[in-house]
Amino acid sequence: MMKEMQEYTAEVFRRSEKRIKERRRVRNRVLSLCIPLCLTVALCSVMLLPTLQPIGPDGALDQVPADQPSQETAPENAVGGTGSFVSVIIKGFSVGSDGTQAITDPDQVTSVHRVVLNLYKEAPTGTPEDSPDEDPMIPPGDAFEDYQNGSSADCPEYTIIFTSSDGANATYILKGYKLCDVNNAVDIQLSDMQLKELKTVCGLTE
Amino acid sequence: MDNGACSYRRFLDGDESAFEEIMEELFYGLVFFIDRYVHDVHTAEDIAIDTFSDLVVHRHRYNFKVTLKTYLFMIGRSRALDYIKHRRVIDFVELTEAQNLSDDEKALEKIVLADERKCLVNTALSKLPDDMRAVIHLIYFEDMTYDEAAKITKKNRKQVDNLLYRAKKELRTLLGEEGERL
Repeated sequence: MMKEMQEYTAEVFRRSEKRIKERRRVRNRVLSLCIPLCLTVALCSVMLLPTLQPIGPDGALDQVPADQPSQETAPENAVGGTGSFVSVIIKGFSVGSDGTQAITDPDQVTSVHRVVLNLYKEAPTGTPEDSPDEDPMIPPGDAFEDYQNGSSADCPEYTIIFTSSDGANATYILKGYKLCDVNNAVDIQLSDMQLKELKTVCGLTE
Repeated sequence: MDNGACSYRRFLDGDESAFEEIMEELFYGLVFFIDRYVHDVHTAEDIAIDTFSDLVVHRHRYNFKVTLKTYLFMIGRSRALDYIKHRRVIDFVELTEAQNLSDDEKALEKIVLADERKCLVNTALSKLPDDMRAVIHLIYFEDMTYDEAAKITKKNRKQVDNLLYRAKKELRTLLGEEGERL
């Protein structure tokens, strides 16, 4: 039997109401699941984020400065560590000089190594200051840049070899203003102050 | 004739009586069209009611770019095809119930087809393939344009043209002498 039109219309509205209620129920259910889930994810990420950052040698979170131009991480994985080196041999190859210097005093060895480590931590961003007059070894004028990056033939070159008690070595080469960690293949450019400090502690000042 | 668009605008503005006007104008035609696919009047009614409830639940989906009739027939056709796709079991009904079913179909035919000519064509239509049947129904029974029929059946105008041509050829054969008169 065909129904009356009013019955059909009532049925349409009844089904529409049912569908709208169902949609609201599903939407509320989804919201009630999603909101706690998002909060949980946010909390977990806030809690876990510090543990994902690398830890430095002193146990603090390693904050690598953004302005460092190359891989200038401190050589905390240098062979032997700060306390275990027993001697430092410094071989110098400057113009007119070919000498070898050995440091066996434990305090001196420690201070040399500490200075080297600090240099890697505090490597400067810019080029070294232009003060050629302070060091008589630095050639004046256009060759200054070559001297700074160690490519000039006139640069003095020093090899600093740390030896630990078990015979392992950590080798650094100082050429001009450039200090190279041979073991880790990390180079840094030193400032005037840093170069002076290194030379002083290694006994290389004229 | 805007096929219900004006009434629908009034319904969207809050006039519920406008929806009854839309139902009166389009409901039986839609049921008749859906019945071409599902071959069961009660199922066709069910699907038509769901189609109209789509208008109520998703009020702002209809963008007035096509006539309301075209839009409803598009939804109705999709729902009918979905029903056919998901229908798994062939319903076995008792003979008495089958008799009632056939009575309902005749009642629906009587409501929708006032014209004797249309009644004759309707009888012959059941022997045609689905596509042709749908197109003949939309153009001949629902007085739709070729473009509207193309939109509903998801074909282009040229395809509708071809289907119509072939359907008329078939109908002439099926209807015989009566077909010549038509």
